Amino acid sequence: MVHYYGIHGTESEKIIPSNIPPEIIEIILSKLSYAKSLLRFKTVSKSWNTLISNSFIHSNHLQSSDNSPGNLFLSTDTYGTDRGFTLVKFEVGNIHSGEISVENIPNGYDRILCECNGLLLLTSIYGEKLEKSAYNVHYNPKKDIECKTKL
Amino acid sequence: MAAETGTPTTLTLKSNDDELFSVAESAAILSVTIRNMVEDGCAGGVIPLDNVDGKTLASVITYMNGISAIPADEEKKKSYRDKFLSDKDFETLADMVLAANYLNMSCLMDAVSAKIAQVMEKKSVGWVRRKFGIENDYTPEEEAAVKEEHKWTFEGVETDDDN
Repeated sequence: MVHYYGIHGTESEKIIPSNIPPEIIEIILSKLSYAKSLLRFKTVSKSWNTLISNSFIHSNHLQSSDNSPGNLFLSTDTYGTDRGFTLVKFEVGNIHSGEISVENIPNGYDRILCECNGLLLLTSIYGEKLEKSAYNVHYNPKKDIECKTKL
Repeated sequence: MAAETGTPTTLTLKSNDDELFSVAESAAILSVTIRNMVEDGCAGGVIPLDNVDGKTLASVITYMNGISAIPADEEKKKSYRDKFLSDKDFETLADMVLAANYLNMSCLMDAVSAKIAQVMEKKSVGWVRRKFGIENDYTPEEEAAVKEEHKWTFEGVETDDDN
């Protein structure tokens, strides 16, 4: 019997022993329509978190959710911390460069230079003044991958 | 060993709980695992399928028969698959995805895994843990941190329906 810590602290939860191997779970997760679900399931367990952070799922997911707009999100830099990026809801219709509406303006990286296949190229207006933070931020909302490029 | 002119047209499949099923070879070879056995000449007698129980095998055979009766029309095949899977509960779907994997039936594997994903889409993390039998190995602090990082993804989650 697998010990189960219920999310609501429920006692005596019945656990069906897991017999679905990780490679099949990976296939199932790659078929989720929404990145939102995929990211929520990072909370299931550490191994699911690792699985979901795995690039294979994301490339599958990118393919299969190409036609599912409305669940994109955008990262924002958190100054001075190592927490990396937090997620911001991102309302999207047809994406065109310069026409993207963002619910919360990302901290610092508030200019969207261009978008391609869900990949955003962001920059900071302060970048021009403060050389230190003159980065472009590439962030793929579906792939949950970001990297900074020094200008 | 199958003779060149005497390849059987009906195969007998045996589940891991010793149920026997007759199925047309033309339908059964949708399973690459079975097809390989037939091609290797190992399908003369009873084909034991050690990883599939009788209940699941019966369902898979229904699918094999149903889908192979449909001519090459992808729309109709898709609508058959949708209908076939529409009334299956999670446990049945989980058994079927394992069977489809073992039998190497890519069309069923695709359809069942997509169906499971569809069922999961708005489910809570707790529901997923229970259904997949996943132990939560986060400490409460770690779990809270991961949840906080993806806070918005918890909006619109359905109330659990499995209690």
